[in-house]
Amino acid sequence: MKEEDIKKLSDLSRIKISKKEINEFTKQLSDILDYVNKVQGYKFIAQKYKSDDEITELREDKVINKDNEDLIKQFSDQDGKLLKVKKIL
Amino acid sequence: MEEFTINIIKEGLEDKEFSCQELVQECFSNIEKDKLNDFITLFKKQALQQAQDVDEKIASNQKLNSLEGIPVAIKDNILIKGERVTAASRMLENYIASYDAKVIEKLRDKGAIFLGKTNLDEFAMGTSNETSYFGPVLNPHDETRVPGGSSGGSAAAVAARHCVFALGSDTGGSIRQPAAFCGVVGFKPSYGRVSRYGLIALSSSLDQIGPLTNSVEDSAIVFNSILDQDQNDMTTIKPDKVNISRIKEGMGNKVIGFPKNYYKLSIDQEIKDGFENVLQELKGMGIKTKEVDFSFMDEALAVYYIIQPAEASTNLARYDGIRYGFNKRDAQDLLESYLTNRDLGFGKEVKRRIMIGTYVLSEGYKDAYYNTAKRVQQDIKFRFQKMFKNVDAIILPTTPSTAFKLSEKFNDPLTMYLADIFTVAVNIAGLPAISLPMVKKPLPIGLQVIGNFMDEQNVLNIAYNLEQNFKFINDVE
Repeated sequence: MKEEDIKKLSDLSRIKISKKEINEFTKQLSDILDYVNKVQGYKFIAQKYKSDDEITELREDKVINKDNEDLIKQFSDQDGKLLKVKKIL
Repeated sequence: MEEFTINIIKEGLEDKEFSCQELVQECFSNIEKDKLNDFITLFKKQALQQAQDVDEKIASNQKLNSLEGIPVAIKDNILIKGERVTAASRMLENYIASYDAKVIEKLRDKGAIFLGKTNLDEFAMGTSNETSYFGPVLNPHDETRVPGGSSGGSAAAVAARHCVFALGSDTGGSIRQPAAFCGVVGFKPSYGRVSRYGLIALSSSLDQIGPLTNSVEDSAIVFNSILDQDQNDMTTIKPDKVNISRIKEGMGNKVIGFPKNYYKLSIDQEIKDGFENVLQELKGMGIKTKEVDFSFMDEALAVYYIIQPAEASTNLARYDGIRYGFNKRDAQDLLESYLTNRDLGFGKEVKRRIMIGTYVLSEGYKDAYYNTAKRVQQDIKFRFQKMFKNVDAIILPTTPSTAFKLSEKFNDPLTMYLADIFTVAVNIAGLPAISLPMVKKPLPIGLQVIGNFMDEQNVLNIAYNLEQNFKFINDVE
């Protein structure tokens, strides 16, 4: 990995990182990605697989009326019961 | 008290040997005195009030519920309504849970007393409890060493008798590895046995909640108390309780598998010696053993460090400080607020894993990494199915070393990841597994018992028999 790859990744992840972190992470992430590349060398033993997904019953599409005061209290910014955010457009 | 286990404590309460208030007060005194930093939040007032209610019930000769009066610690990534839940992160430092996790509801119903929330690696990412925003936890056996992670606080609290049992969560070994480092029992049920409703998600296809206890029997009791088929968690399966009397029966003709060429594994000599002793014990008990092919452990770890960060990057995308959580409040626009809140809210390890996850899911790399990992995962499940046709359970050491020193591995993430090499394959395949102490001095060493999917009854039976037959040096006090 190169430093510009790390910078691109941090942008994609929506996390600002410092120059020091870019430096550190370049080596660390390269090592980690080298290791996980081992999956490429894996020897498969089976040809086909049976699906083992159990079908769970779905519940009724009914609103369970919940008091949302606890959630609204934790908004970073609000206008009455509405969440206020920075301009999007 | 010789044993700090559920039934012994219950007897003591019912026989009025000590009061519930004395018991709970003793737990809090030890927590304060020992300074292990194993708790992030303590519920002193509530717990002592609950203890008083229990004492009144005992005084009026009423029968206690199954876990009534038992002091319990809960990992701080499990929600308790109205209480702070931090995931050991600055991002959620002041976040208040708006509902009870399903496991909390169930323990509450049975009368358990919650002492507080235990420390963990940030967002459950770690193997040493050193990535916590609230500082590291110390190993009660040697305070210069780590307790393991990510459920380090829970493991330390159980080992130090700060509680009778604790709940932890296990995604790649986070219950079993700290249990091994701290000399306690740590049990991860099959994927889907315990509802994840109210567990702060790390890797949704791998996470499972489970107990940390002082005995195998206790882990069975707690498992029976928390398992559930929950409409709020669509991945939950049939809640088959285990039969505790049958767990205590002999192993009969069961065959135990162990890794072929285990002596060639990259593990410390003391671990090899401990494991060799276990194989001798089994011989002495007349139990048949059989070699199994565990040569795919490296690839299992690689699969894990692709799937887990990928799922984590998705699960942690919700944390932007806007609806809740850390918000620096000086951003000019929306993008800047995301970048800043997540930069300041998350620690280094969390950032690393989100970035790895983002990478392996990105255009051009997803097929090579993520899709390949999913295919290999299916094959690993198949390998285990094949193994369990010939053996009833597989044993191997839980960890490649004993508890390492604080800061020893902290700056080398890859070395840290390798600490999980014996535990991750279990999560990849969704199997049940338990770690119990096979050596206690000078440092604890854990033995892992892995069973087939949904085969908790069998895993606990084998673990119980091993526990009864191990010869221990005295417990740590």
